Amino acid sequence: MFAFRAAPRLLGALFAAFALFSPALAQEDPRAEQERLAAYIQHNPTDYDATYRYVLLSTELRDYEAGIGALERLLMFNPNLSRARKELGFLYARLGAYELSAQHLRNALAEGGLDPVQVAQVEAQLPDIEKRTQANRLYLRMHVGLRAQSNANFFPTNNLFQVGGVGVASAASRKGDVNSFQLVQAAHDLDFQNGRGDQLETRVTGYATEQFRLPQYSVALFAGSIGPRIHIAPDLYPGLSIKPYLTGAVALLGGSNYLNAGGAGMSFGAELSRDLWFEPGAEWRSIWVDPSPGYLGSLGFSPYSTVSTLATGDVVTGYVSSSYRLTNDLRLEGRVAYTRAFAGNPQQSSDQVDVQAMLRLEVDPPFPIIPRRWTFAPYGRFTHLAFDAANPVINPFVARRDTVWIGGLMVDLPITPYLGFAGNVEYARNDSNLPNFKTDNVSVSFGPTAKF
Amino acid sequence: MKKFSAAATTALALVAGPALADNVGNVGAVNQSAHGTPPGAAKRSLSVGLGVQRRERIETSPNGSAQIVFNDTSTMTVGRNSAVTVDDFVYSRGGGGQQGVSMAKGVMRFVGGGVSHEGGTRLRTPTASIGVRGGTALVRIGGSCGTLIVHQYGFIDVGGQELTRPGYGVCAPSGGPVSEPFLVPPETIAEIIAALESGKRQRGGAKREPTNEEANLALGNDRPPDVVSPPGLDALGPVWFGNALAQSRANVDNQPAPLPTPASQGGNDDHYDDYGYGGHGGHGEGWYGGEPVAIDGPGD
Repeated sequence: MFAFRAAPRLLGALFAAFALFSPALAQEDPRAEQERLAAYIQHNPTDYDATYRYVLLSTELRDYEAGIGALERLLMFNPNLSRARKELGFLYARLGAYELSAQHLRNALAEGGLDPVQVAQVEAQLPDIEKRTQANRLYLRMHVGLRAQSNANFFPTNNLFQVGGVGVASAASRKGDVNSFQLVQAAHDLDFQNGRGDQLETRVTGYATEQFRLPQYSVALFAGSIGPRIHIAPDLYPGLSIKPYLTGAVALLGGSNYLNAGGAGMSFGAELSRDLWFEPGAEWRSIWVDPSPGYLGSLGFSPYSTVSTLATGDVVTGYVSSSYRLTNDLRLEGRVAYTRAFAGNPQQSSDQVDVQAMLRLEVDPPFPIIPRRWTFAPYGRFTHLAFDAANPVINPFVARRDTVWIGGLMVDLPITPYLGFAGNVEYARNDSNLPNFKTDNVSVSFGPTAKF
Repeated sequence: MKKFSAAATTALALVAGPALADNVGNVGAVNQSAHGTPPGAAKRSLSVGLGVQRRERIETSPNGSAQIVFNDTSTMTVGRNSAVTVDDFVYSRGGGGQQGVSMAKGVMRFVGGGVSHEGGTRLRTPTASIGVRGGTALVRIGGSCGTLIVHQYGFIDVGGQELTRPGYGVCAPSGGPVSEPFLVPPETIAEIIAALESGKRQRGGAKREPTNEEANLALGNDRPPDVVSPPGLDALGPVWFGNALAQSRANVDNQPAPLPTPASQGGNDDHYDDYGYGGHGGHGEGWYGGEPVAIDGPGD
């Protein structure tokens, strides 16, 4: 009853508050403020404070052309205004005009008017911008460090198993472990130097871990892909490209070859705006997985060799990757994929849905002399895995269904233009309908990075 | 009071209306000598803040240059020894408009605004008609190229030849077809920029020049975003794949030995070792702790 009486008053108060504060809100609307400043400096071009505010606001609103026009004007008033030239160079880089950007940044350095903080910012990015003007572009990122896992052997959460449908408890337990890891990611673009922007893209990844207690789970992975990215009718659909590619991977586990994969795929790049792109695609891979962990020699195969998640066969994946820059400092990345695995054994054939999302927040480091932004990126992943048939050795009546939840935080902390640190905290939980596969794991990693 | 205010507003609109209506922008900066000739009026020297009218012709001397700021925030920098005419400018905020500029000689930089974002901007030279959509372009008339158009951003159409890639340009020679897009040499871009910028002693018409100190104070130390994106999901992919490999094998390794059948309860204890769960090959991590104990029945 009280709620009925209070509701009109509450609504009235809300309307009153809205009426009171809406003019203030309108004034605080950045777009309106930008328009107000644009009109003002159009008639008062030598009001430099207003011009700088306009540049900052336009940059924040990603209206880079507006900022460029204002900075070009400041440079007409003072051709040695190296700070304005530096900002101009970076705005041209955001538009993708790398040659013009590089010229302005080089000139800003040569003019000698920048303070050490600004010089460090230019020197950190100028090599990357100059690289963008070249036909052969190689990017390298390396990350080494230590990684601790609470459940490195992926042991079931409650030590429970089913064997032939009979529940059993194990006195064995999960084992935590620490590994040292090395990650190398290389990207090479061979620019065909045509007006369309076509290029040959090669991507190579090397990842290796050395487990301290459980060496059988040490991993060495080499994966790569190569394919041309062709822009489709850039005049009609700018930003739309197609990329057929070949892909392959070799993986070692415990020092022995565990998985080989080779295949091909096709993706479509759709850059819908400067801030939003999608890349749907489809991929086929033929994979071979070593069955030997359960191999019995003269007796044939262990019944448990069919329990492995990965199995020899064909794998077809349809996926959509996406990235959306929400603000100047915030970017949302996502990937949704459906994978069908055709293994020789129906107990290992599966359907998998995978959803990944990451929110990448870029912040200014606490010390001005650090030239690059730091990144804090919370992320999540959901995977549902459903096998075609029940595996009699586990439970003859229940086909395995796994639901994996992963949540984590990744940090990237560059210190110098090329060196820094990166780390990761992650919790992963596998909710399986069979106790044998219910697991959880907390992992923490940290170590130095280098990028070139 | 309200009536007086309304009358004053009407009177102001009547007096100022025609003049303001023809103003399409203002002079943002100017190095002398640079002149403007509005339609039906005498040639006048340009100065900072001066209104620019529709169909006004702007000319610069070999040392002159000027930046025109249009009402849609687009800017046009007219370089040394150049001549352009603002043919047309109509702009309705949010509703697009039309913008036409003819260039007779020299060098120009166009940075797009509200009209060009809607695709309504057209630049004309003696040898080329250039459509600009949301774009930024450099234009130079002269030499064997006729008109050189260099794309910097957006979409630019030159006589049916489309430019979509920054740093690429086309030549539009007199009497000939527009060339295929080509990568414009950095030196050429540098030459064009030099022809647009103030000389060392020029101050663009400012009474007081802006300084680096006040620019640093106003602009702060915020870093621009990296040209090469920081690591994202792509950096996690290999780690997750490595986990998937280890988990795939661990799924096998962790399983307990099959429950003893009546036949095997006869004392064949070697059975488990044969299956490799007693340490075979270093993979048997799952069953070191003891014998399995049945706790429930089949099914789920």
